[in-house]
Amino acid sequence: MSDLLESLQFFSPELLLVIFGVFTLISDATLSKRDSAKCVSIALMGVITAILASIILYAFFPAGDKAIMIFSGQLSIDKFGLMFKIIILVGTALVMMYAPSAREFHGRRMGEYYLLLMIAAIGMCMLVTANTMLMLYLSLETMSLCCYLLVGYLKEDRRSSEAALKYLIFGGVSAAIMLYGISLLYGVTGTLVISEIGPVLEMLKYPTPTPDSAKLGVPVLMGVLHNSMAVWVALAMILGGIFYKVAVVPFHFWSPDAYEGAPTPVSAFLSVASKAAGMGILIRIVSEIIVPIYEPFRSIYGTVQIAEINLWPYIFAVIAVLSMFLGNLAALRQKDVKRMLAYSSIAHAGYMMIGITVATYNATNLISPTGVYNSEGFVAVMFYLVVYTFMNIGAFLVAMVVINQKGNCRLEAFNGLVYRSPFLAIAMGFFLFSLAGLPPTGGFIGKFYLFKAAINDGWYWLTFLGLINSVISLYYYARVMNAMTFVQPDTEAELHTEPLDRVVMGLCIFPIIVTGLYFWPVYSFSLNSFNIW
Amino acid sequence: MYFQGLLSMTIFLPLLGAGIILCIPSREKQAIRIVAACASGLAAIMGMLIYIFSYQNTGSVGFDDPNAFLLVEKVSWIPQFGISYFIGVDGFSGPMVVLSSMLGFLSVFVSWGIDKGVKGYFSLLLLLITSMIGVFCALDFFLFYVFWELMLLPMFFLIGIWGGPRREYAAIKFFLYTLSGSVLMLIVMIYLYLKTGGTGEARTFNLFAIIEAARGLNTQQQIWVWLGLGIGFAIKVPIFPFHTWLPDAHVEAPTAISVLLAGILLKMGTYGFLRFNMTMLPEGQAHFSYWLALFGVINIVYGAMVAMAQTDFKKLVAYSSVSHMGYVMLGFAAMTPMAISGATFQMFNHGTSSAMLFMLVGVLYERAHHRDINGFGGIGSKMPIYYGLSAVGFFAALGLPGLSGFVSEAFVLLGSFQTYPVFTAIGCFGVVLTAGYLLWTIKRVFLGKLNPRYETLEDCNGREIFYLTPLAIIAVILGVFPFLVLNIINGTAHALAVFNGY
Repeated sequence: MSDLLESLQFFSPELLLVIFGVFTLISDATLSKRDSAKCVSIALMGVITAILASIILYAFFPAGDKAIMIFSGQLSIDKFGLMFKIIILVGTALVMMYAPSAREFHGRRMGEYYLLLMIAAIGMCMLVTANTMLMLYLSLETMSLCCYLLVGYLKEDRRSSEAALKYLIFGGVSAAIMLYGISLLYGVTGTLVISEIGPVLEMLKYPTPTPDSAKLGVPVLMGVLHNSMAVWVALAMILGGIFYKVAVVPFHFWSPDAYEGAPTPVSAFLSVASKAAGMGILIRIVSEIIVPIYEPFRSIYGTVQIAEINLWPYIFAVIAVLSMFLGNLAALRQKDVKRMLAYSSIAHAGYMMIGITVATYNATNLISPTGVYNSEGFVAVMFYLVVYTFMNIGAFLVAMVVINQKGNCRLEAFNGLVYRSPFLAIAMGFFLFSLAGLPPTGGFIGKFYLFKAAINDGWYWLTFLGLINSVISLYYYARVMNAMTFVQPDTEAELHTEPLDRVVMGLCIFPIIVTGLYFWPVYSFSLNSFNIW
Repeated sequence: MYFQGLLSMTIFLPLLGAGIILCIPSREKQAIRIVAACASGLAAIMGMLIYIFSYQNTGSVGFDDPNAFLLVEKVSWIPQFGISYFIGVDGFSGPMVVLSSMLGFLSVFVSWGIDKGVKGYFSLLLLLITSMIGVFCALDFFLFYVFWELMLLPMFFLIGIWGGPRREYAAIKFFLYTLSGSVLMLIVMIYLYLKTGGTGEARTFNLFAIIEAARGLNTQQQIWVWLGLGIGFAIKVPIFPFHTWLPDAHVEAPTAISVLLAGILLKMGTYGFLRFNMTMLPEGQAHFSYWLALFGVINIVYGAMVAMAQTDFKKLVAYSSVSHMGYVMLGFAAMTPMAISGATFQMFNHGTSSAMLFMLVGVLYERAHHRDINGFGGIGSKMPIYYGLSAVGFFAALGLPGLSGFVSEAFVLLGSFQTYPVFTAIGCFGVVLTAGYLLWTIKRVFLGKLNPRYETLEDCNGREIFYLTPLAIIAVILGVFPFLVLNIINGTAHALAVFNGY
């Protein structure tokens, strides 16, 4: 009982979301249908207090503690998880702020929309702090279920329903496969606790050195699990489920359709918050399960040697390359900006996979002279996610404003935007150039860190392919710029942007510029947050 | 030190001007132009001060010695990553800074007649000037890269919005070409950054630490690093076969942007070779110098021949730039002090003469609204002032003795002959080709029977004379007193040549 009560304070962000979610629903019931969008204020208040709670938890995190286990070890609250919570919640708040002006939602009750967003956010928050496989699965499903509903929120719209159905079917299958993987892993290790699985597997693989073998200084590689297929298959299945959330090749099929069909704020939410949550749990699984299995063997006499070549980094690298190329090349051909952004977000997930690749490689295939792994790759991913949140949400917001006026966001709808709304065009310029990774924007610094981590460990070919992709991506971002600035508009009418949307754009541009010019605070924030190892 | 902060002021005054312009309502067109002229004019005055200061301190050679740079400013920016705001000039960058600030000022007057989106145009132009000057001053690799990339954005919009009929194509092509070059540079930058800092020392982007780190690489590594940087810079120069963006960009860009493109942006590529490839990678440079000379000569001859075949006046000047940059590359490949001095001087001279040619084309285009060389004829009699100024520009470009182009080309050819006699001989042939197409153009445009369409052609007005004359004067003065610039260059060029084993 006392555990439960003590746990509650560390669970405050989620609790606040629940409480305010209920209030949102109640207030929606008291409002007329026309004013329904006004309940955003309560929902937003909930998310903002949740952000504040996360920040407070982060700031007053007991020094020296790695993680605080709550609810009998179901969730592990650590700085890493809290940072991801902050990213996810900030993304959610920004997405909420621009929903009221979405034309797509006009004439609908909005209370449930906000509630679903909040529950999805709760699922994501729990996902990034999950400490057992069961919790992981539950929170993943919580989040997925809400996302399916959100994608299909425009019930009468055929494309929205189709997108939701596609998303649901793919999602259901991948969740089932993941669950199977979890059960396999449970069968092998006998535990569901994520942080225990790795050490257990390590133990099974390398039993304690016998006095004889220790005398010889040779590590004993006679573990029962050597070359075990079961662990491989189980891990592949679990990672597959996560990759589905992150939307990397070959688990990306749902994303362009879902992003295109979904209401624009939902697309933004999926592309940012869902991706961040997926990346969070991916980093956790990689560093808590994969790395311990393969990390260099330490005998009791302190001799260190590489146990076995770990193939996971190479698999991640292939996924990264495929995602980058497929995302960028497919985006080249898109006429619809929303769909283009969907493909570009696949490519961005590919860039982030570079960081994951490098960190995994570093921890398992290299012997570190200091005994401390270089977590640069993971930190770079975290930094990238911070910047990516703002630039992608901003880009989707501009697309939404255009949709509000034109009804679609095909490339022609952007024609001459700079003459009709200079502010909107300049904002979009910032977002696109940041997505393309040009200085002095945060997108450049994000890529800079990813590639720096890759070069540091000698992944030159991966860096090279990543940079080629930057150039390819520039082409389609430049095409939007081209339409916005070089083509004359078909109407002279000024494009109206809601004040709140302008505020959101400002909130997105500011961090992009700040991280571009003085990025140390954000980087050190990421660096301090990564404390899993 | 009366000159403390001079460089920063030169870099950021145009940016300040751009900021002020953004606050002026867009209907106040004249006010915007005046602010732009003032901001760039102040930068040009600062540029002159920098020139005077460099001329007084020619003993300070710079090159790879941080203490021998002039007007050094160093402010820590992101100390945790060894990134600092570190600027200074030496014999290579000094003349370029002077040239950039001056051409920036003149280009404001060249674009005085722009009437569409004045506010956006001039703020972007000033941003472009800031980034150009910044590139030449930066002594921190990260800062250099930021300025280098920052230049792309205004350029993209200036070509794309205010350009000719195929402007969108040209803008995107320019953008993609240059970005492909700079991503290669980015890899090298990170690679070299990770090589800096020994045991216990922090890594840094400080150019001198980077130089030291790069020199410590083995031959194989140097070759790769050289190639990564070299391709990036070669696209900018542009060296054959990376030159195809240049004619498109030039033809479509508005006159002032062509002026800056030819006058400054191409020099960034060659400056990169000087500052990075040749300073950092002696073995890589030795390995590739033959190829550099070969491609330099191809540039000279190929550029000149293609220029000869053009009927579009602007395209002709664009290809003549390709040809002239070949001399610079040839001089770099030869690596004798004379060749390097000559090549650096050629950078300066081509900056003035090609800028002048583009201005001249612009003047004619504003009146005739076409650029077909064969469509003119005999206009020399109608526009005597214009004819006179054109003659100076053309002859300076073709290297007539007594004008600036001659000195630098002669230096390059003389200096290169010891190292690459055959290439130099072919390069000399390029001079004849250059004279051929330029004289032929003069004949077709200015001489012969007056085309009846141009009976009422007006001569240059005051503004045009104002921006053409300084360049003409410089062409004449530097033809007679080349030491005015060469003295600044020589020390640094000599140090570089000696370092590279001369």
